Amino acid sequence: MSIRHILRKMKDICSLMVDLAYFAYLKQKREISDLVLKLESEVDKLAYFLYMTASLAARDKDDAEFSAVLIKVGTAFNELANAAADIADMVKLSLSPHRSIQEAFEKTEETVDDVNVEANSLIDGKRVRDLEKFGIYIDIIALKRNNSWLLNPDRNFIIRGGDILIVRGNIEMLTKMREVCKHE
Amino acid sequence: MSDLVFKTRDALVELKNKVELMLDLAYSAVMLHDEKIAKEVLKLEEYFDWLCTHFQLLVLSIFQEEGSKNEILGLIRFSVSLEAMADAAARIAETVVRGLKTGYGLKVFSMVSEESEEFVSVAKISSKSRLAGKTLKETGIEEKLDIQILAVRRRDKWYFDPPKDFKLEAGDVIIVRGYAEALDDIKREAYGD
Repeated sequence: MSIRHILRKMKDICSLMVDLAYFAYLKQKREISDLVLKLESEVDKLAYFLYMTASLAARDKDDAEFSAVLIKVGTAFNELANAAADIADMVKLSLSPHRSIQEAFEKTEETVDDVNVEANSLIDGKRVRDLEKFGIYIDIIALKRNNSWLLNPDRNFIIRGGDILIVRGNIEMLTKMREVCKHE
Repeated sequence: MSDLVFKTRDALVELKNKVELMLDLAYSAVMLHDEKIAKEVLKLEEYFDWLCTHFQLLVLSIFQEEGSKNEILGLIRFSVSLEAMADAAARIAETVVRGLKTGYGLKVFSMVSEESEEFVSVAKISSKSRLAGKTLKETGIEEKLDIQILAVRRRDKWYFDPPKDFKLEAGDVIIVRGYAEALDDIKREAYGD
């Protein structure tokens, strides 16, 4: 794996993890909390790869300086992942969310929620990018099918009935999303 | 809802927004290799620590009114995690202050940014742009393009997290967060096409 791949993967996973962790804690979703913890160990592995690759890449002083930057940024991503995991871990420790935090998150523009896709709903069999045709602009940050999770499904991914989606967007879009995921 | 719970809620909103701002500014600082932005992140980090302590004291005082032990500990742990994220942002910004060679930051971040993703970019407001001379609210640009203006540089001064009544002027350099397409649009709008 190239340094570019490692760093990109770390950043992608970290930004997802923060959103997933908030969601898991606020809605007390054990399953999502487990997913965040799994991702955390993946980021750990990636950080280790990054340190090795960056160390091996340095041949002179200039290279070493670049490697130092890479390692520092990688470490910061790793810290982000750890912080997200600590938030998600609270679900397991039965540290329930106080209502002040529920309300704090209601005040933010974008929220994260889960949606079940019902068979024969409007969205069943459609691609992720087709959502725009319904006037729906949201991010699908994770998707569960057959007991396994997929992160950031790409625009050509086909959504199927039975999928569970974790989506991020504003309230209006989430409401629209829920409508097209229901069997009519 | 009691006054203290309101205060706690608002403090939480501020903590969360500040962390997001700090991360965005830290990425911008490295990409633009701008020491002033980096220093602002480090300054925000100090402020954040203060804010966090203030928040934790507030949480301990609501315990006397309402909330279970589990909920109170949850709030405190949550703020500790946000503090760790703020530290991560500061660590990224530090690479700039420590004299990172020009070009390296951009090289690192071009590695992690992809077209489809949300990212940060810079635009300069020209005198023929319709944005010049208007407040952020009047332009409605943040809502229209679903972007966030993180900072404005006017001559040698930086304005971070500008409020809605902040008036843009020709010559201002803005740092914007948004999707790639929107970032192209804002560059066009700033240029005055």
